[in-house]
Amino acid sequence: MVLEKIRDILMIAVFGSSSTEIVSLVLAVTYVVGLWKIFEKCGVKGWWVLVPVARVYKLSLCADREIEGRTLSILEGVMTLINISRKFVDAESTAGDVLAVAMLMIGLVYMVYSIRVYLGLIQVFDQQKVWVILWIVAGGLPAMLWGFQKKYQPLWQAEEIRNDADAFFSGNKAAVLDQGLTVNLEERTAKEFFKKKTLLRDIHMYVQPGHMVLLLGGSGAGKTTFVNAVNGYEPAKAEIMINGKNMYKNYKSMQYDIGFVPQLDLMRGSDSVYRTLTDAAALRLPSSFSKPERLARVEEVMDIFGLAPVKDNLVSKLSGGQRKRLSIAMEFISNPTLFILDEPDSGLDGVMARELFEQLRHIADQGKIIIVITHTPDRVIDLFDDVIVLAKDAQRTGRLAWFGPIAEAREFFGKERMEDIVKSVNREEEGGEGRADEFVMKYAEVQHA
Amino acid sequence: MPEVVENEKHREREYRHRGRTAQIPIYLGKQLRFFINESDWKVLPMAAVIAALVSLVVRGKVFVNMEGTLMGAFAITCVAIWNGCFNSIQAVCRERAIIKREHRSGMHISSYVAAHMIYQFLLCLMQTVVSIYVMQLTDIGFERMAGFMTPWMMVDIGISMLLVSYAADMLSLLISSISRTTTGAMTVMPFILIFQLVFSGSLIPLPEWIRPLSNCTISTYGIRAIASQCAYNELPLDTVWKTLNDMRDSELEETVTVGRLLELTDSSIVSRYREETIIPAVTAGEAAEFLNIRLPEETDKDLILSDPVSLGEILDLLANSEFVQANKDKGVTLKATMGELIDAFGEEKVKDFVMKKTADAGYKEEYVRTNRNIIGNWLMIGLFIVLFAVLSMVVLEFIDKDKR
Repeated sequence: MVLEKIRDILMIAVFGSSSTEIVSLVLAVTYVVGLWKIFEKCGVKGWWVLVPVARVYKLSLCADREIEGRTLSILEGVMTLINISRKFVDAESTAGDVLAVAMLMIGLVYMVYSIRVYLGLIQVFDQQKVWVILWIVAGGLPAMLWGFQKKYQPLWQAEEIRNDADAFFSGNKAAVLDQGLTVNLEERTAKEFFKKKTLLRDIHMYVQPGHMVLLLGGSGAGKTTFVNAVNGYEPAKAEIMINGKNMYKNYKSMQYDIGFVPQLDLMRGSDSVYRTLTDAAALRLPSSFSKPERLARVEEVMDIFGLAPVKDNLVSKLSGGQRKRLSIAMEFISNPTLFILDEPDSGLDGVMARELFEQLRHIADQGKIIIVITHTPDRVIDLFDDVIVLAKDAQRTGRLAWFGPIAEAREFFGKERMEDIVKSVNREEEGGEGRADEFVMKYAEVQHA
Repeated sequence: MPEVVENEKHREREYRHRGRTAQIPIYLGKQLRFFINESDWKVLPMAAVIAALVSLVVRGKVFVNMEGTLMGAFAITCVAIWNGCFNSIQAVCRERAIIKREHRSGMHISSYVAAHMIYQFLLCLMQTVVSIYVMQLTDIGFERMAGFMTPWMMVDIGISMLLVSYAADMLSLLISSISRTTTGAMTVMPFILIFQLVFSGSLIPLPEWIRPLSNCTISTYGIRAIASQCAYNELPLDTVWKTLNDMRDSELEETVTVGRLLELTDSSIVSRYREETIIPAVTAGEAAEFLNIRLPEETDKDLILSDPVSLGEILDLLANSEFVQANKDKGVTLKATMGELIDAFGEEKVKDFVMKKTADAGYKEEYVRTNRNIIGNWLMIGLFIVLFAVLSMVVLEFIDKDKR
């Protein structure tokens, strides 16, 4: 009896079921064997297939569906526990019923997530989507076919080989001056599912006051992570100095010296323009400001951004351009030294976008530092002083591929258009040229020189 | 040195921003503008419609008998929970990204939640007033009974309703704070409602092992408070008597053997009455009066002609009778309507008996009409309010951890 239970538990752990029916057993064994080979093809160690819970996570890595894999592995862990518990509980009892219902519920969710992972695997192996039916109904068959037949090969590996750029550090620290912004970012890491992931590494720069800087980078290169590290919202292992003061050490007092305008116009549609700005002033301006002073600042900002004619309109009734200007005005109300804008031109036509960037140029000319993320930089590139190019290296870590004047960037990358520069550092599977590592190292060499 | 301290103080003053309390009016103002300019005002007519529907169903039953009162307490609690849940289920998640931005700009989460608490309280108060007014208009019967905590029943019920509604509102605020999207919040909502209503444990009897769960629902304490205020335990339980009376024409018919009837004479009930005199002693005077004859001697009238006969003697006589013994296997059909049986005992007597005994059986300690019980239930609901509000604050403090 005890031996039988131990056997069942082992069967559940390895194959996910304790069924001794010949068909189930054959499918379970072939699934494990086939998956072993698939793992090896994808660059994952085959023995992971014998580790319950971790198996589905590793499969999701092969399928480039890591997020789904996390959920799936948690679900499998719970299902394994329930399955084992059911061996010790009377199936006819209330506890047995509860476990059965729980198993059904989790099983349904598990199936949905499995479909997502299998679809990812199908994409990685460049196969027809119809395979997913076979994977769900009898996983052992496709696992054996894909695992043992040479014609089924993944388009890319789950775990890539480390290359030179990964180990390479420029080590050049940017100077700290009384005026301007200095970024000395060693690394920015995040823990995801018990795994440390480096999001950004080795970024050093000094931005002069009055400069308008373009921040370029492909999807996932770490642009938003970078600006969040700079504005202190998501601190990194770094030293961020604004006008000689350490941002992280003085976050409370310097928080209002940085304006961050998010990509979306995050404002309440039920408020009027005037009310939105007076509330923003009440929050952002120091309490030493008297009410008349606050209202005067609101009027001033409305004039700067051309919002005075619509001051009584509800935000929900504003045009896209007006909304964008209001969103910027909300941050500008505290007269920040550093102004960061995440795609301020999204949803605006060429003329409106140009007008907006000209306004930003005007603000920069007053001695402010402006950093802008945009995906259509070429139509307004003449307004910028510098460009920061972030690129995802082979380890998918955001690295600095360039910081400096626009003209020099063109020469460095050998590209005229900014959009072509982004394309050159983007990965091949994203439609780019996959030269990120090359430029990261080249830029480091330039800095050393 | 003092100059340095003065400079530090000056710098502090320069950078000091609005504190938690000072931020509350900013967000309260935003909520009130949302009420006017967006769709929050719609909860008031919705509350009126729901209250009218429920009131039309339960009117004439509340304050009259136990079952009607319990049904009314359940219905009023349902209305309150429904109102509360819908008030705030989308309140936070619909503007989650905005909260994140404002938190980044110096907004205190505690001020934001406090503003919500004030606003939602006002909303619940308005809904309660509307609901109570509609119930009064549709003759739910508040005037049938004086209030217990206040002189007016509608105020008593109103306080309970407001508390339940506010607690449900805070629960929804918590769900809204946890949910990333409005769809997520609206998906969870039905489960919460079903849990609150089914696990209240009042109308739907719960299995013993699941009963402790009902202590975790707002509805349990709401129903208890309202049922107590409506003097549930002091009301009759009509259902059983009404059912019996409705069955007046139903016939009871049973064929039993004589032998079975004889066996019944040995039952404990019959044994209890065996010594009871069925036929009293008959004197000569009584016999003469019955036969309308004159006794020869006046003194003979006290002469006992036959001894008193007990039930036991008659039963024994029957049991030993040859005739009965010979017909032991013969069937005898007994037939009577429920009405005849009720009338045999007297309708009023049966009604009083049934209603008293069933009301005793329906008595519930948790519905006892005392200040201590009612205030205890209100305090429990109050605890839920505080708990949900604090949890909302704690959950929202982590809003920065949201995935981009």
